[in-house]
Amino acid sequence: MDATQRRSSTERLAGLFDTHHERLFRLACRLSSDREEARDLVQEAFLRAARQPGSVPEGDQPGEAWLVRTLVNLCRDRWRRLGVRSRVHAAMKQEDGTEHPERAAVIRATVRAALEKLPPRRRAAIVLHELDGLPVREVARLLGIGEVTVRWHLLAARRELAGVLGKEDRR
Amino acid sequence: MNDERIRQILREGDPFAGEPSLTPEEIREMRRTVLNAIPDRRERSFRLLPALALTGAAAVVVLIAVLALRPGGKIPSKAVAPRIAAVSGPVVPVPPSPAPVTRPALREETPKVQSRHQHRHKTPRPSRPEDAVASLETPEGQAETAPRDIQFTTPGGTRIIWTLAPGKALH
Repeated sequence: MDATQRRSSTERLAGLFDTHHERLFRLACRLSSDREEARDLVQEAFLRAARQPGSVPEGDQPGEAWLVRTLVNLCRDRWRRLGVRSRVHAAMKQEDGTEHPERAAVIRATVRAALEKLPPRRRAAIVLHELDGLPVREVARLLGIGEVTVRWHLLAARRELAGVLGKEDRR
Repeated sequence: MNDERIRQILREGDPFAGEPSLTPEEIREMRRTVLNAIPDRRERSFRLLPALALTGAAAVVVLIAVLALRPGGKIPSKAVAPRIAAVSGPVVPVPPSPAPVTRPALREETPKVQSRHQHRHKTPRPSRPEDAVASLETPEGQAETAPRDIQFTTPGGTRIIWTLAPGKALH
């Protein structure tokens, strides 16, 4: 990579960072368990783009979709590393509500625990659609999957969330 | 629990709602880290140098090992025994050594045979080393006073002819 190419890559990556870091951080916060982890995920996604500038597609929207997919993949890697046991343990710890006596905090912990039980791509689909308010077509574009697949993920996610949130709602 | 209720709970307990955004310092630091991670070609080649040197050394070692351990590496592929033949009768003159007393007479007797021995190498050779050893012994009915030729053929093709004249001492 010569000086001109490097400068071009730097400018393009700087543009992507300035435009999308906030949105990616918001998504990372909803996909991860805490703020520090969300910050690490965002940084790692941009670092992957920096190490392989050729793999990031040209254009703002394709670049954004590439970053979102990378972020979701990073979450998936972490999700697999943690394993089912630790996830359930973490969810139960947050569900007991002893650390968050206020109702808002309890609901937040419950929602976070319920989201953590979902596989990362399904979680990303429900978060982008329900919390970010994006239409199915936009979610499909960002995740690089078909609209039918997004609808299937949303249906499955609602069913799984209903099982967890329903118990909290009945309390 | 219907979809609308799930959406409502998700929005009430949005994990991002309770998290502060990235601070300007965090954003600056992350931006700097990301942009500095864009690889430089020279840095990359210097980083690869030790790996390339190690790979080259390993290849040379493997090559040497293969050559040394090859089945035909040090041992000759065909063990060819030197051919030895003893021929009784006419003596072939050898240039530097002084001619024995009996030679002129022999040369006069069979000039054609001598010439054939010297140039065309038509002397019958023993096919096996045992035959060659056996042929060193004096044939039956042969006078012990007759001079003998002993011919060697080395694996390389060099032909050596010894003339043994009885009654002539070695010095």
